[in-house]
Amino acid sequence: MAFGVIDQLGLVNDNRYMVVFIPANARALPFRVISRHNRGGEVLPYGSIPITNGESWASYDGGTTTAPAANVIPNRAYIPTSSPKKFAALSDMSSVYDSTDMWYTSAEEFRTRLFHVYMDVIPKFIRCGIQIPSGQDQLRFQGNRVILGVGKTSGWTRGGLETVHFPELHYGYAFGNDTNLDVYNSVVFTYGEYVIGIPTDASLIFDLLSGDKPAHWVEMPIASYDSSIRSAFERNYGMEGFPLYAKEDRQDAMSEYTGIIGKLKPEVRVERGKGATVK
Amino acid sequence: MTQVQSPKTEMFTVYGKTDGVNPTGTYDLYAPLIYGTDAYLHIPKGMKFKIHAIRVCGGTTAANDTQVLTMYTHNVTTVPPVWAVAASIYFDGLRVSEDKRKPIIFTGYTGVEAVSFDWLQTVAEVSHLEVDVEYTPV
Repeated sequence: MAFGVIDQLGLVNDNRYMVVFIPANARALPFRVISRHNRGGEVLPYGSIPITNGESWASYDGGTTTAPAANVIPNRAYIPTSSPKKFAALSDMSSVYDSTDMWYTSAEEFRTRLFHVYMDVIPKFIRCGIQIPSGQDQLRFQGNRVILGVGKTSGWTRGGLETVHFPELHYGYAFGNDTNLDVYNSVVFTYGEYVIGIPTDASLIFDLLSGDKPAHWVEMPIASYDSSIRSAFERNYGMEGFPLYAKEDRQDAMSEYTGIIGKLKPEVRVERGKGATVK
Repeated sequence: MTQVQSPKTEMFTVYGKTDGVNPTGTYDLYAPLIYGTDAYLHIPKGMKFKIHAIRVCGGTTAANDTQVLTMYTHNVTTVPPVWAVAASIYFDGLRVSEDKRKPIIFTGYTGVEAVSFDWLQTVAEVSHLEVDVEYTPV
């Protein structure tokens, strides 16, 4: 079997590339996946969405409603924008960087790591959305005229989603149940903790971003370029990403890419002619 | 097929029981997935609700028959909702009855549609209902 960019779990294989595209600023971050730190342990059955008995949710029928029991999603209800969920560390994973948000890490310690996450939710009719950063509903309609999310007609997916967790950013997870059933639920994460580097070859970067070199693309649901996102990218990598150019503008692209490459943090640089190492 | 490509459908079985007191009624439905019971299953907008199989069993003699009616309303929020019969299965009181065929499909056109199940008995008796259902995107 050919060793492709992604495996049967949808995770990027070692020594392959992943491109994370940010629609809000039309820039892409190309990463070389040097190694998958959790190879063989990609499935994390988290358990129920953390819900307390009597917790207040917004209602699709107006006003608010409450969870009838711990870890039960109330019927006809959604998580309001102001109260997104974070996944706290499980008891046997308590030594994570931030115990209130297992996916959050710092640039200083983790800028050479990324978490590529598929979240699967049971039951699969549950609406799922993500806020980047936490508290910021990102999806929009007609520019910024309409803000979408799990409480709206659109701006969500059912049964799960795919995302990439960057250091220095807390993400908020939102859920909605538009049936009349109070439901038990389960969240299973399939994830890759990637040791990554950013290529320092402008020609390679152009080939990745133009599609000439294979990579797994993840388009982040970021329609509004929040200042905290810009700050996180600068702290993590020293840059906000590479702009996309048409194929016929290769030389112009490479000229700009060379300037951006010069600003990259030393820890994330993957130099030509050298074997990649784990940092 | 990668995990992210797996179909976003949810199949499960709901259960119900006649009360043994009234010869007619609406089942209170329950399932391991559901907290508590519900008298109907609402169909969200943009989703389909499929009934794959209906099973009825219980009772002790031919006199304890049960007819199960699959009921449907276009608007469960009206007071009272207007329910129509969509399908029927008859249990003769002796052998398990199972209706398993091409799915009965209902669509959430506007998001206020719903399905429920009623029973009709000659003599009130406890009998059991199992319905294999599926929520799936349109």
